[in-house]
Amino acid sequence: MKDIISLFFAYARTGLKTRFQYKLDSVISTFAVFFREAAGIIAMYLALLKFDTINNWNIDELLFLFSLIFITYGIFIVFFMALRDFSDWIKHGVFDRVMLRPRGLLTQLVLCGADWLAAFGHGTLGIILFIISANRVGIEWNFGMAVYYIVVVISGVLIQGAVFLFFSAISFYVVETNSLKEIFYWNMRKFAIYPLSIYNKFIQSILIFVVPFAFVNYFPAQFFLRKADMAAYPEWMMYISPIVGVGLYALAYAFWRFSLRYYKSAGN
Amino acid sequence: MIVMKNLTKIFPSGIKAVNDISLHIAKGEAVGLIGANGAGKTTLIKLICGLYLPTSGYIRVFDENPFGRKTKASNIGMVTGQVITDGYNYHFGHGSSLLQDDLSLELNMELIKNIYRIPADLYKQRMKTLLPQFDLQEQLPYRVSQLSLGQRMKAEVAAVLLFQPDLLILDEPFIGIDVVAKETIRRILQETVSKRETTVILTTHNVEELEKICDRVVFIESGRLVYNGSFDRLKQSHIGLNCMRLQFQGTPPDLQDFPIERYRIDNHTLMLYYDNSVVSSKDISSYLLSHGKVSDILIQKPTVEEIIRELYKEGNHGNDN
Repeated sequence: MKDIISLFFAYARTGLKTRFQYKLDSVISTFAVFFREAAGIIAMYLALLKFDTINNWNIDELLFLFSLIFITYGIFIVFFMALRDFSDWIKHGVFDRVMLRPRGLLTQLVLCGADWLAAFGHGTLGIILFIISANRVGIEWNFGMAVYYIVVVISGVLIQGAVFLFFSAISFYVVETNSLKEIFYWNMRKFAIYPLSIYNKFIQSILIFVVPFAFVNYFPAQFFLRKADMAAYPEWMMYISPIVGVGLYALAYAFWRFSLRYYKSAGN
Repeated sequence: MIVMKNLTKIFPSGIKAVNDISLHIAKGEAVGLIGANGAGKTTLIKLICGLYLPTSGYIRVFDENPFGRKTKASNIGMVTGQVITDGYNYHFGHGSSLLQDDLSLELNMELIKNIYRIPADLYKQRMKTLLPQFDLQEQLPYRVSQLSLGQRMKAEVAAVLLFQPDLLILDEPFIGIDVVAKETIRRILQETVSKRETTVILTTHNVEELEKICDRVVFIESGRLVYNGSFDRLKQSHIGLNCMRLQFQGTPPDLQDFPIERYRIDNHTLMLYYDNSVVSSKDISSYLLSHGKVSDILIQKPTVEEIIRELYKEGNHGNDN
């Protein structure tokens, strides 16, 4: 474990050193990520001034809902960036190099791809949204609440990691997975920005059962906010994000192992 | 060290990329792996590395089944020289490159130190030796994508020697690089081989380098092992022949009943391969000189390169024995 942590820092050090060879470029791209995402939120904020609430969620509560998306994504791209772009690795044969190294495959994939600057952009935005909203949504923060918040953040990262681990494993069978990612991740992520309850049953089912973004932000947020629209779902769904996270990741991992074997026997 | 018995790899498409190959490579040996493109060299290498699962047969590398081997891969170092060029630029795009394009050489080396768990003092010591050897000291701060192809290849070999693998695989390391870089790499590989600690497998079309580095040559043709032995034996057993090249003005004359092994006519050039103990160079040349207008004549022992070229041709005629 100590060994893995030192490798993590080695990757982080080299990655950051490289990025800061071009300081201005790095700073600008970090801000670019930040403002790109922030612009979307500001646009929505302005729209909400007209409506006041969406399905009874006021603007602060919505910001709290977004903050979970941004914070988890910020952490996600530190650890799962390489999985996000994994199909390129297969295409260009980078994966063969990785397989030849005396380290676990996933260890390397998880550690090596960190996009620190983008992570910083998304993460900062998430934290700002959290700070703005957390005090104004009437949560009585105590130790237990704080711990559960951290747990759901980790679960949210795992859920998204698992989704990309699935995509990565699919890259062993089909070369092009970008459109899959577009449909099942990026579009679903756009849906997940708003409360689950505003959508029709079909999209709700996808967000709960297929690409379970609902467990990244909606249900965890409900745990803290207890909005009335939660009545449409079983109450226990507020508590199972950690199980979904760990379970989905385990499932994705099993599929990954299976696919890896296929890759080695079929060749690329 | 490496043992293969009846190793076969059939791809889902039905192609037998490796067909019933049995081979033994001892520790410290340097083996040249040759064969035309598509002969199965790369598949064989990938089987050795455990990147492919064999369809049937037995393979052990360091007494282990390479497929499923997890922790011991530090024993294998691989350098791939296959480069995609788009006319004016080269990409080490194949990705099997050891070095990451977007990192400086120094950071790349540091990363390798961490991945392969090289102790700090050993790392310093090896860098001190390797960098001057490859003349790369000044390249350290540059991104490896900024290096010239020759420098890049030297850096790749330096990087692989940094973790001193037990098995060093070089796949076409000499493609497209300048003479000086080629010379440097060749010299250092010779040194590595002479220590007899590292097993080396080298694939190349550059037979000259192959001959200088390797003790043994393994020739693969359509997935089958066609030849496995020393260079000298290759020269003797396959074509222990002389090669005579004659340039004619006009058409070359008919060779009559001379016991020639094989010949080839290209425009006005006649190539003859013959066994000097069966028919003397003197007899052939005097016959041809008196029956045709010869403008130039060259007699030589064929180089390994030529022999292999001949072997390729035999293979292309579907000679399956």
